[in-house]
Amino acid sequence: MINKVFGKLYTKVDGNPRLERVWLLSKIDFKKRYNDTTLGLIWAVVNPLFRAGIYYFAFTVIRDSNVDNFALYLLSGLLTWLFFSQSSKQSMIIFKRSKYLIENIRFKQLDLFYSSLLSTFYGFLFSVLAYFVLSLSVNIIPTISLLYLPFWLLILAVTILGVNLILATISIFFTDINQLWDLIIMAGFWTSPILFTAEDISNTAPWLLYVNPISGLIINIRNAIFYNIPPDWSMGLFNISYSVLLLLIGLVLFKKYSYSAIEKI
Amino acid sequence: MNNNYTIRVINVSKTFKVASEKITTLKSLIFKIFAKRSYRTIQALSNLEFNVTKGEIFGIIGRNGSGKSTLLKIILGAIPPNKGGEVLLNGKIIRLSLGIGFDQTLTARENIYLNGSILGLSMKQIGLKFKSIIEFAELEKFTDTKIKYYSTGMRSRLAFSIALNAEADIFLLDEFFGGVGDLIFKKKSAEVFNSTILKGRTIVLVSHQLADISKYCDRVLYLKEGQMAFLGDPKQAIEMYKAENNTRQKTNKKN
Repeated sequence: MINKVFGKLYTKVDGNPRLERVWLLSKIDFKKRYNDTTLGLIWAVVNPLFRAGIYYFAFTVIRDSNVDNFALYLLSGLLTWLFFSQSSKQSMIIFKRSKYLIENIRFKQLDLFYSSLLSTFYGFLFSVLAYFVLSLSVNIIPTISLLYLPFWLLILAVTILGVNLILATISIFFTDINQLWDLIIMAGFWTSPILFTAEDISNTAPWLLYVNPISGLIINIRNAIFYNIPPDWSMGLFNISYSVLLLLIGLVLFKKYSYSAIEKI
Repeated sequence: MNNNYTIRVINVSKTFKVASEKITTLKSLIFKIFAKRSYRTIQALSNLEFNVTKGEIFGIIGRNGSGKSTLLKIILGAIPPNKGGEVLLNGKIIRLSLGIGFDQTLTARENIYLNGSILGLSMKQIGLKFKSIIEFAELEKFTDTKIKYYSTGMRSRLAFSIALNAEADIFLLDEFFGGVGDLIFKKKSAEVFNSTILKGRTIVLVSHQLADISKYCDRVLYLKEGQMAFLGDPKQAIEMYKAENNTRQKTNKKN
């Protein structure tokens, strides 16, 4: 299936070489992740659904959750979180994986980061489709508030790009960041409003919602696709500035240190 | 200065700092945090300064560890020179070395698009050149075979063909012709060097095959322990290099 989508590389339109490069790199990245398995692309959808199923089981059968349509509530947060965690984990191996290119051709290495982000985004899109199928099947129909979704996805993408650049730079000098990041991701997951509600968290430790840059985005993406209500702008403005700040730090670090990546890796 | 250069190496030095004990893990960091770290510095290159002009075939010779590959990587921009050094380039650059530069899990077709795109071509341009890339490499039957099933010779042919067709201006050939038993490739490379295909392109040739160096190169840089021992006439450079090898062998015998 993937081969069909990606088989046609030739185009008749003369496009922008740099955009096409990011596009091509992301396609190859995505293809490599799923193509060698028999079920291929299906894993991109099955994996998050299966995870959601387990959490659902734990939180409804074992511990009674008081949220209506908890499965959808859970899934909307989980998908957002998985986009972030998968992409950030990959960022730490970008240099190593692309060594064969960097060592032989001079090009803008930032493109590797755009394409890596984009390739995780494809998987995210497939699971979002699965979400909407479920959502429609229980008669939760998206309203006009859905229009906010692209905006929050953009902010999410900027945040992830910033984090990825920071992580990749750190990983040049400090390989333990891989293990450390696994722990941080786990801590982040259990303190985000994915399984719990934002109220639960703000009742016990409101600062948690502000430490984690993804929490507010989960809330607002959920508002857009699950609750169908307008955004929480106080959280939203915080996230917008957070994302810009992270991206700036990431770009500065990347510009300063990425030059020595190949030497150290 | 004249604008004819394609590569300008200005005051390039490279020092590798090697920690006696490498600290890249948290554990060693914690244990070593208060201990005084000792570094060993390796002076890979010192104060190199030269220009390569457009269309020139420029050879680099020297013993193993004399800094040839480091110099190529610095020219390419894959690793930075020490502070104060600079490399100016004028054109699209590609480094070709044996068997690398490809993603092993992708097919030749995909690798052609990938490399072409990284070199700055648009998909349309690559599509137009695709046929001639495959034809020159004589790989018509293996277009959709994964690179990992290719022989070293086939890979070298493909890499060379991509670089030629993607119109790279500067070729850094890092031991590219050495050790390949592939007859087609040998024939091809001789053909290329003797023909006009390379006209106007700049070649930097790093090789232990002194016959190739003396046959093709216009000028030769002879590196000795990271320093420029000689730059100029190929024959003279090769003689100096041979003399160094001879004295080394003699001292080795004495020991």
